[in-house]
Amino acid sequence: MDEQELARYCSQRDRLAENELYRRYAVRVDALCRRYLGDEEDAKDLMLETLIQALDRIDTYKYAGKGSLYAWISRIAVNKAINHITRQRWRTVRLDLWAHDNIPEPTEDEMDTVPKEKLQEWIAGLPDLRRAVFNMYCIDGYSHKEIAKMLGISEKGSASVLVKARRQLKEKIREYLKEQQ
Amino acid sequence: MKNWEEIIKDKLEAQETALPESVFEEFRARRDAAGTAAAGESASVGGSARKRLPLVWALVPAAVAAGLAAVLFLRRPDSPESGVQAVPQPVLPVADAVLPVAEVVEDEAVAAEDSGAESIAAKHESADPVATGSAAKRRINAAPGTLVAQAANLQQSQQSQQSHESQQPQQSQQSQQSHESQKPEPAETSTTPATPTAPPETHTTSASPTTPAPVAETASPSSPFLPEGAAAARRPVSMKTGLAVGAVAGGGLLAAAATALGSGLFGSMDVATPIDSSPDTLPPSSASDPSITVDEFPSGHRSHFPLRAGLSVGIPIAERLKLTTGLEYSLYATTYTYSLRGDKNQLAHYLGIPLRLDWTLASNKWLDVYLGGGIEGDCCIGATFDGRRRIRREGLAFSLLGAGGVQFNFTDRAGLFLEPRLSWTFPSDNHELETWRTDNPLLFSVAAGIRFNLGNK
Repeated sequence: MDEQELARYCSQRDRLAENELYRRYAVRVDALCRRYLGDEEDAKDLMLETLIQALDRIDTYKYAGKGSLYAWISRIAVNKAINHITRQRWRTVRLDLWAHDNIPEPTEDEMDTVPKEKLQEWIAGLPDLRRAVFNMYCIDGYSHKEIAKMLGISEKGSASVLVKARRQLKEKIREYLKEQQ
Repeated sequence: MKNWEEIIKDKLEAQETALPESVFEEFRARRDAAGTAAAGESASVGGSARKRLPLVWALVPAAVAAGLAAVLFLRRPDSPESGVQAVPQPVLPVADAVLPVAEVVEDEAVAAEDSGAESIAAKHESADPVATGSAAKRRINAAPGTLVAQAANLQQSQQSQQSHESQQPQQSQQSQQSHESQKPEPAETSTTPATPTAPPETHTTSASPTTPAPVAETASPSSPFLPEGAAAARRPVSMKTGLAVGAVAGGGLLAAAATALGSGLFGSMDVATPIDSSPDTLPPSSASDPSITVDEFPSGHRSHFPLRAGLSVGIPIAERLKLTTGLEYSLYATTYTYSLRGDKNQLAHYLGIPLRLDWTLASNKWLDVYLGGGIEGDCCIGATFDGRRRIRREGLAFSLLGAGGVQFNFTDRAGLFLEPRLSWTFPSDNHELETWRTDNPLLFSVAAGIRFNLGNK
């Protein structure tokens, strides 16, 4: 069953179609939510809300090729995650008093030694805004203009936050590589 | 060759771990419950476990605060001068009926010892046993008189003997001696302290003692020799203690507990004294100066509603809870009316530091609506009278706060706030300046200022 048919059956409130939609996309949406929120419980709740909202609004989905259904669902998930982050504006602030600007970027070989779980842990440890900008720009491919519009910040601010996020992740990767050596 | 960010992306998009079956069951349950209803804008990410607090629950603390404010407004201290008040003891009816003057007995005993005089029967008779007020006063001033009581008994016995034998010759002899010798002479032989003498003015009266002086006359109120019933006739000393109870609830959190205060809890800071001590229209705070005549005190005063502005800082604690503090300036104006010189204005400048917990009811990028409660300390930084004369400043004042307001965020870090607030000032004896707050401890005001938000960036 392709995405277009799946969407059509879901719009008819077919329970089997809804279960199929969950089976296909729940894991990926959950992984996306964990990247943005950094907390497993929050990510699970966000994933469920995303799928339910997607099923409620499945009539508005327009098929645009293979993968468009996931792109549409992931857009809903990102919007929900951004809303959650912007509501939680009062988390602790990282001052970056001892930030190093000249951290060399890790090579491809070095990155092969870094496990996926560590990357998830470090990304989850970023401040909310840095985590959101890093995910949106580096993972999900949003532009600074789109990020600024969705987060309610300026494009310059988005770029600045991305620099800080990259610097913080590079520090973590370098520390890990140093420990492994 | 991929850069490190692309490698991160590939790794994160790789095969994910399958979700447990319970997650699917939860999905099914939510979907069935929601039905065809649109999810809409979800309140929070937490779902059923972490739903946004219904607005009605935010109104409950506000209702509690309003009720407590009404109680505080209606329940005022019995007396503005709260404190321990000692009620004078009433006069013992038993003692008043039979007691001659105890103090006079003592004085007479000393005088008799010195002068060697004799009976005080005349003095006893001249004393008015009905004068309860004077008797009570003398009794209070008399020493616990076991010896005096013994002396009184001895006198009574001597008087009764002497009065029957030779009364008139002794009286004439006594009067001559009292006129000739003004100085009291030391007693030659005196086994007891009481050999009283009669002064000349009381000599003419009859010297026969009518009633013996009971021991209770000079005994202390707690003496075991008091006749029965005297203790029951005494009323206990009542003590009044002003109570000040206040509490503020706001934003779902009780920001302050009720306390009981006595008078003089807060110390006074007499930092400044009046510069010009001329008697020309001195402010009421100089009332303790004995050089000021009554004509210079104001006939009345009128306190004006205070003005407030300040800088505020919001420090986040939780998602919807933040600690608010800062600096607040308040201006209190009071107009005093003098009979001769008309109206004179007093301006008092206060600087305060509030400490409050605020609960955000609703917020978006531009607007925050909140409700909070806490405590504030104010210090008078200066006060003037008649526009030119600095006057004595008072000490610290503490208030309980309850506030609700809106904040317009013109940047991510700063916003302009406008908040109506209810405050109740703790009663204190240190308030020398009459202001709107001393006249109205429960104060409703509106504060405006700039608040800086510390938070995630």
